[in-house]
Amino acid sequence: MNARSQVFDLSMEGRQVDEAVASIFHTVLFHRCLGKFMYTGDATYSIGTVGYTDVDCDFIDFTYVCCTSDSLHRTVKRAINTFSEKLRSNDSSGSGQISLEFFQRKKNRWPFQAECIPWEVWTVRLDLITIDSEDQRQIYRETVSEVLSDKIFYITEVMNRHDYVPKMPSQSELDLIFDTSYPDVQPYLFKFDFSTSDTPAPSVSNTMKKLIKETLSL
Amino acid sequence: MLLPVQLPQELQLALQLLNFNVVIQDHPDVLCETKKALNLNASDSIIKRLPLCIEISLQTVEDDKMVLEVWSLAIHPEQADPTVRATHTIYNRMGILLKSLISATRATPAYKLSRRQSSDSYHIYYRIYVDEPQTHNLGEGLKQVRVGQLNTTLGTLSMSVAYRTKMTISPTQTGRDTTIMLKSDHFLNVSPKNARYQSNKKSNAPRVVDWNTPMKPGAFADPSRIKVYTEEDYILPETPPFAWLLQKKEPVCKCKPSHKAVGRREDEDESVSCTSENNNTEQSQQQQHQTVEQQKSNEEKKSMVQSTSSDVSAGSDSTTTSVISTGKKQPNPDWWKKVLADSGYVPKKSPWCDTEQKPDIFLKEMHFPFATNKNSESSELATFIRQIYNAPKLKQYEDGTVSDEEKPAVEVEDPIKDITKQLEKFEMDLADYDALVKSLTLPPLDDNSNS
Repeated sequence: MNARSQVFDLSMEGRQVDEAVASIFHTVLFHRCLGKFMYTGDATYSIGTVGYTDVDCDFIDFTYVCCTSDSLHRTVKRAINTFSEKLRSNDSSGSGQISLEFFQRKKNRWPFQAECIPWEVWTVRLDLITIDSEDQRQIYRETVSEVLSDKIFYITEVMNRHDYVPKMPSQSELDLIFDTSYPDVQPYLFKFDFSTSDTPAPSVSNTMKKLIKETLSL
Repeated sequence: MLLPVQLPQELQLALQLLNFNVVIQDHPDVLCETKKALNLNASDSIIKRLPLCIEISLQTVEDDKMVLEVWSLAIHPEQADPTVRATHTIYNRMGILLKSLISATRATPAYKLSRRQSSDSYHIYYRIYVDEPQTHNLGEGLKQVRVGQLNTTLGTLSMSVAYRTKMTISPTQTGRDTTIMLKSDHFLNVSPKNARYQSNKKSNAPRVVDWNTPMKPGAFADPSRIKVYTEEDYILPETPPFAWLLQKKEPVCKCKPSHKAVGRREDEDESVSCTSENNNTEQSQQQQHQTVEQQKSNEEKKSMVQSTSSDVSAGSDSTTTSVISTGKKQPNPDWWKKVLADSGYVPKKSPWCDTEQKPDIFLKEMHFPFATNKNSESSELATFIRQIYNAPKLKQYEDGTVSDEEKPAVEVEDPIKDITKQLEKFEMDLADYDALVKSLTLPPLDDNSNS
């Protein structure tokens, strides 16, 4: 099955990257988080509630909503930070992309590891720009905010489509669908992936390396 | 009816719905208003009362109103999906719809405005009504967004928002272009900064004052308090020029000067015009004037005899005299003191000098021994004045009547002589100074050449 893919193209100042990416990913994760399941039987459970928090951005005239979960917040922040530092570093050409990938595991027969099947990918492509004047910066602060508003509306639209999401699992298969490591929320299994333009485009050697790596990890 | 909104104003809609595993704070007054708007009887179904709308509007302190957005919850029974059976699917989707709603509320312009509301600018109000959403008062360029929908067996529940994008009476946009278009150097000529700049210029350069143009008042000066100069202010005072050369007590010189003697050096027209301009001057003053001019011309003759190559040219003298004699635009009779000081001239007090002059001021102005510029115009003028100033005693005054006035003159002379001696000494020691400077500069040069 092919994964759904959504791509957002954004261009902004380096300092705005963290907040812009966080606003998109947190909105997505907010929709993809459920309350903690409390099983009363193998297939019967009750769901806890998810709280939400407003986050005001410093470098963009914008506010977004995220799940009230410190640990989830830290995970997202760490991933975005790593990406944005690399993107903004001196040896970067100023463009790159980061993606949030939802996947489910499929059990394989021993001794093979569980297979990860992505079912939804959200990608943010970024181009860094430089702003000379403070006036322009102020204007851009609002421009980025308007762009992000549109993206948020788009996310809500996508979320309300009747698209595929993994079925609610039984207790034994919960870990194949959900990430149960968070104490307060239960998001679908997700991971971050990023690349910046300084990392060379997929060449033969890189593809070979990747192939060998994957083979070894099997 | 309008009601004030505190914060996440759109959450009120959500209270129609159960909390689908999302923690949503309830607002009792909003719940009350919703119930009032729905006006449900116990037997009525809420589905028949939909669509339900909530209108968010802004009201400024000046009572300007603007509708910002309309959120609506509607159900379309014709899109009912009888196949949806699983309640937990509806439940999950309802949760997603609520989350979308919460996320979307932060993305509208009204949310930003509601965060900035204050008692002295504007407030945000809400109104709940049961009707089709009234989007006509959202202005041009309104945006309509479907936040989400949910298929149920009863129909499709849909949540949407229409919001204004053009904030024409937004207080942040008014008054942006009210600044006066004013050139940055508009006040250049009259600003006090400019005056300061002028006074900071080389102080010993003679200040050029254009007496033909009247003084302009400053930019913010009260015009009623400015003295208006009339023609009378420019007329020379009754005292004749060069009166300071003459003794006040002494009677006017009796010897009549020959006009030719004056006219030989001076421009004829100039002397005629000067007499006509000073037509209110009495005859005796005219005589004084002529006496002075004769004296001056005598002096010039003498200096011509002494050195023909003297830089005191007759031309420049005559010009100076004309300025002094016409005196029309010369309000300050002490102006020549400044000229003297500017040229670095060290005057020797003549017994004919006006006794009212304070030697202290003179001494102060004289302390510029190195500022002499021999080639400048004012230096020529100073030389000329010096020659008049040190005019030899006329024989008629040599009877000792001015002996009392010589005493202060001697006192003034002493420091001047000191300076002259000092200068001479410095001149003589010039070789020593050169040697000293050489001894200071040469060794490091040698070091450099060695290294």
